[in-house]
Amino acid sequence: MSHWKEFTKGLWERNPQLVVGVALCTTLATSTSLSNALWMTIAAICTLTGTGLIVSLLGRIMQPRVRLPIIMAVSVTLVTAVGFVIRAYQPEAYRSLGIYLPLIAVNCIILNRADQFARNNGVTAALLDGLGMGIGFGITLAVLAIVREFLGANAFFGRTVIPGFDQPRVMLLAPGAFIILGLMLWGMNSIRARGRKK
Amino acid sequence: MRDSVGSAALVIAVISVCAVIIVQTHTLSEKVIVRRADEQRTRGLTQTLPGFTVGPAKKSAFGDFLYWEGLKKIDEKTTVRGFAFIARWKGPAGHRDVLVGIDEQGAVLGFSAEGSDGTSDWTDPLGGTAGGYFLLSRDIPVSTARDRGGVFLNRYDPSAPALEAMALMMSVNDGFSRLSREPGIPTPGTQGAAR
Repeated sequence: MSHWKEFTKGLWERNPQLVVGVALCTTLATSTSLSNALWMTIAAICTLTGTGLIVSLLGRIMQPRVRLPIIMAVSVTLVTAVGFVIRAYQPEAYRSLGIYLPLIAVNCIILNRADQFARNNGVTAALLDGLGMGIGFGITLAVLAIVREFLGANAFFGRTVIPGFDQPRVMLLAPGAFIILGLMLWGMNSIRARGRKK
Repeated sequence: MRDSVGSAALVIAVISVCAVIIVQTHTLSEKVIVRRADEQRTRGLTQTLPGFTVGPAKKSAFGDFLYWEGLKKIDEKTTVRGFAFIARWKGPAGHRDVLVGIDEQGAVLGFSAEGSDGTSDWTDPLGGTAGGYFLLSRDIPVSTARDRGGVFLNRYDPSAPALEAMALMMSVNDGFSRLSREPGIPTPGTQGAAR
């Protein structure tokens, strides 16, 4: 597979949330605002690419029985380091993301990409795969966050969009997230089904 | 056997490097985290005790909470004291910390949001809308708020600020009850809480 395809598959063809169906819990919880989505995406990209890079380097010398502990150690370390940096320079974002930031370490995308892809591929491919998956994850999260922030808080990046608009606040709560994510999954499946028919 | 030794060595090496990275990142970020926390605390104290010269944090003789004492010179002969403390409103998903300033009679001089934890939907920082909505859906007995602080806020009022104010009052009254047991600190009244 070409490097370009390695990169783009996470954006559409193998999008983590809309196609593979992983990281949905994080997506639902941290899509209350675009700011949250942005910082969660940055943290996920750093962890995905970092874990992919290291696992790719260690891939050939890792015995199957120590694979999971090593992948976990690497992802936990990267998430912790990213968490310290976000806490220091973006304390509001750190507080908003709450427990979901450290939970990236055990996110299915990280384990899936490190164990299934990075371990068996070269450094460049692993880096591009991590970057593409991270950006794909971020795009879905951002779209969901834009819709929820607008409908639930009448805001875009924390700024009021339509003064006087009485927004349905339920969109900021879990039911709103489920409804919008469900619509996005429906749309994605419809487009993919149409593509297959052609 | 050889494989086991190699695997163990690899795991130890990876974990050692990970530990060094975590320690180094923590060391580098800790200074910034502490500095920002100090700045936020100073801003909060300025807001909660306006015009007061606030001293260093003091530890309560009972329990485990901090408070600050401030002095304000009214004229040549009169100096008034003010106190600031952190009141915590606990929700099922986390808590909100509010820095509250009171005078010697217990009248509230100012509030400042200190922070919150828990999921962002449920305990987002003060001023957010989701937190207000969450409070709306909770069964908060009005009588409790009234008994504890002489405060009555319509729990069916859909406006988030009113509901947040109610949460604040509950926090404040919790803080009042703790402060009133502190030796040397006057028992706060409730007239200030209704402001």
